[in-house]
Amino acid sequence: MTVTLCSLWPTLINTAIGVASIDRDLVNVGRVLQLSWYTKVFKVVLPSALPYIFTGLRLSLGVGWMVLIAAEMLAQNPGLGKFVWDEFQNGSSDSLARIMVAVLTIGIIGFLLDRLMVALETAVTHSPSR
Amino acid sequence: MSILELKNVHAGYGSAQSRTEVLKGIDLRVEDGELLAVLGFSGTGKTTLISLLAGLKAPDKGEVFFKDAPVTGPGPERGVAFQSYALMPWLTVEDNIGLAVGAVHAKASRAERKALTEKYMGMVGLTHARDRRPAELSGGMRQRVSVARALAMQPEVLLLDEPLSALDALTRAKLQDEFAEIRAETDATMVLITNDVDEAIFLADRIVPLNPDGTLGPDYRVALPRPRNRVALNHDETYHRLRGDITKYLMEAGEMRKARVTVASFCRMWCRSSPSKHRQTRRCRRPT
Repeated sequence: MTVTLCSLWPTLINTAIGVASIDRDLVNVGRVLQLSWYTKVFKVVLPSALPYIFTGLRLSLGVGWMVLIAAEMLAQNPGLGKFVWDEFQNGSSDSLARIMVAVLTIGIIGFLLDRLMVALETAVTHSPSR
Repeated sequence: MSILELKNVHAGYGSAQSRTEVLKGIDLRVEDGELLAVLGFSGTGKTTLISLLAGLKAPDKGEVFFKDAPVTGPGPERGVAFQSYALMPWLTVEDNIGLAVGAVHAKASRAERKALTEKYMGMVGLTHARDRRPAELSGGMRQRVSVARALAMQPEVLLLDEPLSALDALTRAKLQDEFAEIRAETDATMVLITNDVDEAIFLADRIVPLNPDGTLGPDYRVALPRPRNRVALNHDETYHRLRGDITKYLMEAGEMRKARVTVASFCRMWCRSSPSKHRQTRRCRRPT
């Protein structure tokens, strides 16, 4: 719930901007052709807004991952966040090392998630480069 | 019979203080089957005129008629080839043309639609590039796709908004020849917007200059037989006279604009130098 609420906004705003910034001429083509609602959305609006939507999704994913860890620390759900919190509390001599490993793991997972999203983006959207 | 008609049309952009009138009191009749060229400097409202004819923009005053019925919005019976091509970058050549075919001939079978796409792709000579995207095409090829898409709507009027202005001189000449051929094949009514006198004379039946102040100039009939030959035209007496007349008219219209701009900038300078004294005077307002 918290995660959703925090990570929703980048996607939402980017989608809105993406849809608003469609080339006027392309919209006019759609108007001249009197495209059906379905064709308009899937052939004109979505393809041109997708790069923006994915930028939003990547930002959301980063924020979501961060908030997820923090939420685990506070809410004591089992997970990496809780692990770090427990180690921080118990004061054993290995704690610092364990925390460092956990922090690195969190970082690497976040990075991989981001790469995954980029891979998905290149697979789905058209590339503007020639 | 006139297929498209503008009656006392005014159009402009902005509101109140910052408003600029682009077109003033335009009366224009496009006859069925003719190729009308509208010729004018850049910034004189040529694109606005096309938008009005296409129904993409509503006139501020006056009316637009298509076959004696008022135009309320755009439609496929008035096909438009946009100045900036306006191709979908994520669709291939075939899909771009297919999009128009699918939208206009929605009831046709898949095979029929495919055949139509093939036909228009062949007409502009792009069958070999069917799987390429616009980014992988040259400017001339993009323009051809744009024209093929407009033709694929099988429109009753084809509106061409400076279709060749972004191309180099050689490609231009080649596409002009192709236009002449397409025109001979399809017999559709066409309105060609251009800033090139030679292009207008080579292609059109009738030429109307658009003055920089947003009014239309006198008609020039082009009484040259078709098919027209570029080389032969160079020695044609009628061609020379017409070209001379139109160029002279446009230059004079352009001079008038230049003079007006000079007066306007002088006024502005004058107002700035002593604001309190002159701001309210009539002469300081922007001349229209």
